[in-house]
Amino acid sequence: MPFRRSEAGPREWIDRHRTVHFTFEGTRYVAFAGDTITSALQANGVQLLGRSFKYHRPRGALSMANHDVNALFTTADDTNVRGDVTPVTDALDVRPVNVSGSLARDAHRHLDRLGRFLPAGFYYKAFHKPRWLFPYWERLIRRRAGLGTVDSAWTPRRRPKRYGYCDVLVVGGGPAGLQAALGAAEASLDVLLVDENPHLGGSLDYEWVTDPAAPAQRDELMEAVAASPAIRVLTSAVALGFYTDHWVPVSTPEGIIKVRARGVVLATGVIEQPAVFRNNDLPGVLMASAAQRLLHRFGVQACERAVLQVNNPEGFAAAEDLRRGGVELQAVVASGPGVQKADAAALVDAGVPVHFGWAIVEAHGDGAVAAATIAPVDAGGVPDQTHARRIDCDGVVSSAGWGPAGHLLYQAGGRFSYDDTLEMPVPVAWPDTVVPAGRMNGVFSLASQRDDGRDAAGRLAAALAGGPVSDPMSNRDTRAHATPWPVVPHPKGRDFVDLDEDLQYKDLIQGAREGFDNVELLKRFTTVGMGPSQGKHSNLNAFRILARYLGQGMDETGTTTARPMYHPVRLEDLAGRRMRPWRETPVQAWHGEHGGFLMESGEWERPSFYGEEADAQQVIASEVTAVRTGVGIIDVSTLGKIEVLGPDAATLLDGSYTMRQGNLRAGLTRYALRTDDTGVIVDDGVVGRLAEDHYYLTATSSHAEGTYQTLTRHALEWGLDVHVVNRTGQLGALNLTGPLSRRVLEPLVDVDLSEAALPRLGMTDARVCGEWARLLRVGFVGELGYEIHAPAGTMARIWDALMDAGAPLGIRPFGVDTQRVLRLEKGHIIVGQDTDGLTNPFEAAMPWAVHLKKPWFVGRPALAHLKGAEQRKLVRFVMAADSSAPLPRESHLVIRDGTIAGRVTSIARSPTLGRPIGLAMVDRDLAEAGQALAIRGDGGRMLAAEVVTETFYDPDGLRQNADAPEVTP
Amino acid sequence: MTLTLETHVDLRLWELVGSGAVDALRAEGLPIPEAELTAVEHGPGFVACTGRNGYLIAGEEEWQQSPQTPPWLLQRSDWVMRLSGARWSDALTELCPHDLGRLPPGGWFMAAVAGVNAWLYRPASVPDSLLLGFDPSYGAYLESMLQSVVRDPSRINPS
Repeated sequence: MPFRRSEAGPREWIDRHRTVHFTFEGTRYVAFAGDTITSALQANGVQLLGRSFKYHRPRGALSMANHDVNALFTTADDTNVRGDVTPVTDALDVRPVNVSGSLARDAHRHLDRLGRFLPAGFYYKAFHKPRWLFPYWERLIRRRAGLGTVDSAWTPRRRPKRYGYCDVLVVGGGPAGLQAALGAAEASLDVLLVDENPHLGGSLDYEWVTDPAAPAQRDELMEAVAASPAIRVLTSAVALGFYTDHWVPVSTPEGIIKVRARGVVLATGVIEQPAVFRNNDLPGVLMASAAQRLLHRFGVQACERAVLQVNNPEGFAAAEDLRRGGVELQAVVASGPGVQKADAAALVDAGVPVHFGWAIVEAHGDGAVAAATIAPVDAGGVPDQTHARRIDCDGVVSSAGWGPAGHLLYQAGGRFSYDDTLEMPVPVAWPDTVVPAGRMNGVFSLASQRDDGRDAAGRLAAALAGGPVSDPMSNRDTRAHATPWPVVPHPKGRDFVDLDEDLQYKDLIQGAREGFDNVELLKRFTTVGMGPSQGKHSNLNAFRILARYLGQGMDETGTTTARPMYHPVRLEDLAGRRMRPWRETPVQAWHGEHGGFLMESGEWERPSFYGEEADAQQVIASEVTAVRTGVGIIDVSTLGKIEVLGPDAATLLDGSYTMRQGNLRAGLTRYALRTDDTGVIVDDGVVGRLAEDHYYLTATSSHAEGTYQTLTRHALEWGLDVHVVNRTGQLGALNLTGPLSRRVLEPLVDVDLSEAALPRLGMTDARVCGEWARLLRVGFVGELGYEIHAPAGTMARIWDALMDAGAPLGIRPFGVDTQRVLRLEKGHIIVGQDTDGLTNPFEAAMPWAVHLKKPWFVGRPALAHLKGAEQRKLVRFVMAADSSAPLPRESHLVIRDGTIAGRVTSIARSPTLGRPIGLAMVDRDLAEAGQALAIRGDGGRMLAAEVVTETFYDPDGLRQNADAPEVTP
Repeated sequence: MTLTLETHVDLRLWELVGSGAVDALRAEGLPIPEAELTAVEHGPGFVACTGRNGYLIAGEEEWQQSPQTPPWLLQRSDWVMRLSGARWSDALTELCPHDLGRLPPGGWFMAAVAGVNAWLYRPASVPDSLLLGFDPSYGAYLESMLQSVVRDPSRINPS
């Protein structure tokens, strides 16, 4: 059973002077500040930490490095908390996940006995027949599968992301990383050193603690790093992935830092790999580095009597560490090319039984290790059971070998190859500015790791200086640090390769046998490497098993793709600070203060109408009537507003729009339609000319930015001498419209508003309320109207002045939905509503807007081809005035002979005309005046409509005459 | 020195574009930036060169718009804020992807701040401050974003 040592070690992370109280499954425990949940439980003799995903087998500490999820917990406000690396805090209440009842009496623990019915891929085999029963199984499996319970009422605690910059990012604060950071700083580079642990030191603080030469080197490195003003240090910081151009997000307790570096040193170390034997997942079976982490960081001895499997020099050193720490070594079994008898000298001298050429075959115990069976193994790793021995123990510790923590190097474009000397994959190619160092690079001795770090920093500095980069020094070890085959398959199974997924050796063989004999297929069929630890402790052994099954080498077998994130990241941290830009018009506050019912319109919020939502229809109708009979005012500040200035202004607009703009007289505007190269309508607006070389145009609110970018691009691509200035947000705009609009405006302006002075479609600069403004006579809603554009700083005053001036005449503000009805009565289209992603001007019944006589404009070749070939057309339609049935809605279909013949694009009850009107895109032969349309509305109800060709309201435009008797002041 | 945000800086802004722009600046006695995307301090504001024959003038002058002949003078309504304090660049690491710590005193730059295009000017005479200007329709949004950063007590930077 694990226990806390009373004697403090020299590198402990815990503060033995500060106690912490926490509860686990309702039992109260004491720990020290600095303990993790796992170390605290182990210190209290709690070995059983979790239940496995599929079979609900008992699990304990395995890696103590976040390379497995045996210890996964839930707390009051979080779930899937990783016990190995999560600090225990005062009053923390911890419970296991994936358990029904208690850990010891988990109601699902009997699933282990059904294991033979639940092999890899069993979903596809056991439950797909009979088909009618599958929904039942699906519900059952979904309830059982998954880890942890999500509280949908949780309160997210967003931690803002921020950017960080450095010359050199060093990932990994062990001996190689510390040395690399110092080397880069000495080359006058700005260094950011990050390590996922709460303290720098890496293996110096668990593997090298008792090495006589290590402490002095550690102190030297730490002091030098702390003293260097060029090195910034971040601990508890995980480099999540490597993205284009040295962009590395680093997860910290305060949120994600998006680091942009000029170069990166990856000293990310290695990941210990487990030995595979029967019951290798029992609590009490752990890896040697885990035992050392527990001992040296937390003062916890993993067990009292241990059997060790050693396949490398690190294993022998770990055994000696444990022995000196008070563990009785019942036996050490050692085999493979990584074993040299000289490494065992201290153990042998101390009387520890060391069996060379032996391996662990099986662990025994009910809920925790109680014994281990060892046996001699041949060169192929096959045990000789006739000489097997069972040894009582309460801990099984293995040191089978290492895999590189090379994820970031993979993502940076590096390549790995299996090294038959080291018996692990090592980097063989990498970018000049992303450099591996240390154990990840196959470098193991302490002195060599420092040399490797120094060399990496030097080559990186040369690359950043643009100079020649020398070949890397070979600091790699020349002996094995792993066994090529850490697997002793057992006929009865329970020899786990992937502990996250409860995958046994036979599952992988079965997958390969069934034809999933490629690493990518094997992964997806068996789910190896797809659990929460993302293959850190399982992938290398899985590739070994597949390689041996296929009779090929490791490189030929390949690997799966290491994708970000290196460790899971909280969604709160990925979300960061909410940045959702919104925009306000100069009159925004007025709308809210005067009952504007606001609706989202892109980044803006615009008033739909002014009134209560429940009264929407009546309010809109009364606003329409007010505009038609009196005067209304609408805030159209969201419109795109663009100045086009320069000698080539006309050329730019002639080329960008379908209608000629070069022959527009100064002081006038013209409707402007823009298509893309295929002739599809993209946007519309109004172009006005102020001078030979000065135009001013509007665009729709949703395409304002797009129009500006398109015009700017055209100006660049066509080499034009022109300035395109986006004034969309700089200027506000309002539309004052209705028969009484001239009366309201005239006293406030310094220009003549007569039809002769400012004709329909005219434009002029003027002073409104003493401030500069631009007046456009536009007729979107079909009444006499003035669009007033003025600087944002003066717009609100102009609005207020117009409201005051119009009050005696009953001026009404009106909103977007009212405007939609008004323009519909006039038959005007809205791009994006009455047109879709394929509509050309001919289909939109706008052939007059396409000036094919122009020698060239964007879309001209396509439009020349499309003219006359349209198969559908936009038509106006009316419905019976006395219809009280619910109207069809936009996108409801036009049906003919049971098939689709079109769709409604706009529809409304017209207060002015007293009947429903609309626009529809229909088959060409339905586009004749008088043609009956059958529209399928809600519930499949068929409603009758009739095509009309004349615009619904004021077809001759008489209402827009500024000199009409009813409008003249 | 604590970080402070002045949310409405009273500067008049004008955009001067077109041939003859340099001569117009000279005629008004305004300083002329040496290169594109640079600025020269001018009173409480600056004159920045935004591109070929394009200038942004920030100051206290009032001119009449003369949009009929080049160069064209267009009134701007930028919302201007000032961020002051020795660690202003650290605060902006939460909102801007560029390393603004490298912006020298007198430096002028255009970048996205909290997703919105802005111009940034670090006056040489007050290097511990930054002027930010942007489309006024985004003013309320950027004010809230900058305030949330300035007032965030947990703001920590890698230094």
